[in-house]
Amino acid sequence: MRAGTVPARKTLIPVASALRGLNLSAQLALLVVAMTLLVSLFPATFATADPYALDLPNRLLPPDQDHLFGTDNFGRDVFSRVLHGARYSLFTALIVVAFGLTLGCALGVTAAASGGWLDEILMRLTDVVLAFPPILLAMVVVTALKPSLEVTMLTLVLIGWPEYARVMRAQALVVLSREYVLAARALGIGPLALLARHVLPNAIPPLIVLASLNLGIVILSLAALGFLGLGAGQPIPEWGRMVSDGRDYFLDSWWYPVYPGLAIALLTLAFNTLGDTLRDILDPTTSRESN
Amino acid sequence: MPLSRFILRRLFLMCFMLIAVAAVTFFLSRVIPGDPAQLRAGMDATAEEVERMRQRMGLDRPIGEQFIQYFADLLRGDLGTSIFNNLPVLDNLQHFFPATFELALVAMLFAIFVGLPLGALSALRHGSWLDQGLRLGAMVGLAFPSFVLGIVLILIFFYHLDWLPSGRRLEIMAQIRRSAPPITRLLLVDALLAGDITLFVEAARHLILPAVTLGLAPLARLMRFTRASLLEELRQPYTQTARSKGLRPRRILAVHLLRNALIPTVTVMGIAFGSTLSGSVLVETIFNWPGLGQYAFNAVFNLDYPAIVGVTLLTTTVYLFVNLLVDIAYVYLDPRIQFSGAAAGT
Repeated sequence: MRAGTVPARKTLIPVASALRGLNLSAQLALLVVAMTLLVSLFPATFATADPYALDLPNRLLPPDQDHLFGTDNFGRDVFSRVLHGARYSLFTALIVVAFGLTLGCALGVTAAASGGWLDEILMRLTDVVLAFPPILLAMVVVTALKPSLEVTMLTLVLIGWPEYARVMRAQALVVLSREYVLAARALGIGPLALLARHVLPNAIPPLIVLASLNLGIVILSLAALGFLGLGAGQPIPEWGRMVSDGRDYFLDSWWYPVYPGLAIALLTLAFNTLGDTLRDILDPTTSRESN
Repeated sequence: MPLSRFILRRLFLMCFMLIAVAAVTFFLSRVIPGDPAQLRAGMDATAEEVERMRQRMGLDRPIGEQFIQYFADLLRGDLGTSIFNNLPVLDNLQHFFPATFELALVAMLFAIFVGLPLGALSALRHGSWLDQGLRLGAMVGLAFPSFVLGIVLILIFFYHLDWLPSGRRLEIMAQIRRSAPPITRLLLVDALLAGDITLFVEAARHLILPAVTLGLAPLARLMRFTRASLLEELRQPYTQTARSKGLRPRRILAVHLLRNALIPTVTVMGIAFGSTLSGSVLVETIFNWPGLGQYAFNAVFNLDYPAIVGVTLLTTTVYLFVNLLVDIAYVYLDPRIQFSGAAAGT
């Protein structure tokens, strides 16, 4: 729904009218992401306790008014740790996708524009990376570079770029054969200007859709690597790591691994829903899985 | 292109892919910090002993020479010796692969036999409350991390209700071994071969929780795909024609729709099976299931070069092979698709 098609009195702000056009699940998903963003930016405002404060006498307490999600094996408040951990999921996932997208786009456009042996090498490289079992590749690379949050992010970028590169290459090839590109070339436009003004704007929509759908996958991968001990180290409250720590106590203290786990699921669900919605809006022809 | 030529071509391409993967794995494993000779010789070994071990393992030679030796060994089917347990990697893989294969297979069957009917039901009741509920369920299934799901399932069905065992494959394997030596190392098959029905049932019970955990994400994906492609077929003119001829809905579904709707779904099955194999790392950790996933995890943590290479090559081979099977299945489902260079494209 465009702002211009709606009478001005009903919707003063274009954003509000766009939001009203979304279905209920997309609105809820947007709400979840917005709240996660808020919590990621200002965790201390919402947290009820210091996420790092040890309190051994009060270890593994079940949820009550003081500790909404209970306490962990060091007596730390699980609710506050989940809130403080939000940024390690949200921001890292956004950064991983942004870098993967940029790298993939750059290499994809290069492959499409140059053709020949460079194209061949780049595409065979994507084949090899995609042929690897992703989690195994991630495990090997993270171990090779010593586990830390930065290394985990870098690894996910290295695993993620080929998908974007292939879609970008295919898109760019289509755009490059269009008449308006030929016309622009005939008018003597430089290669960089051609890319910036014609190829990128016209090739990018499916990549935005792909990137938004991948956000959920990246959140899950980050959590999975954290769970395997290949992400952020102690005492950082990374959600996957918290699930893994809670695994030793979960039969008697279910709240310890379950609440961070639910947080991972909720944020992933929200991003998947938004990705689906975005695809329906930007790229209706390929909405195979949803509608 | 005839089928045999298509398959040959694909197998040929697969070989190149495997060589590339083997090369990348070799270089990756050499980048890992740490000294495998020290590990193999033991932490309290003298510098001299470590040096001797380095020579024995061939790690003192130039990297190029090591690389050539590595490929020569691979071609002879020699994957080297695991640094961790000192056994040939090939034996290790034969030992651990059946556990993961059986788990992934049962998980896939669960995903297919539950996911396809639910997806079809959702499409046929399009727009109803049931459809809405199933769609939401599928979205949640896709977003729920397997390692959290496993914990929740163990809490409910093992700890609180005490209905099912929490994985623990070794218990069953030990019971099988008591009656007869394991032949296939697949729990269900070996229990049957031992002729012990109670053991078979017990093995199946041990498989339920891990298989459901591993199968939920593929199930959700298959459900969504089946629903979407059935809805698309329902909109096609031929469905209208069948309906106006007075065919009963069930017959339309069976004769006309399912076959067409299955074509895109088969692709997803292939992709899902691949993800099931790598997802086993997480699920095996939670359910104490000593399979390839756990082996891979230990290999990476113990800097076990030969083991890492072995696992990677095996999983990649299975993955590529499944994709080939998917492409062949395509043609049986849809004769319009031809085996061509394009279909064989990488």
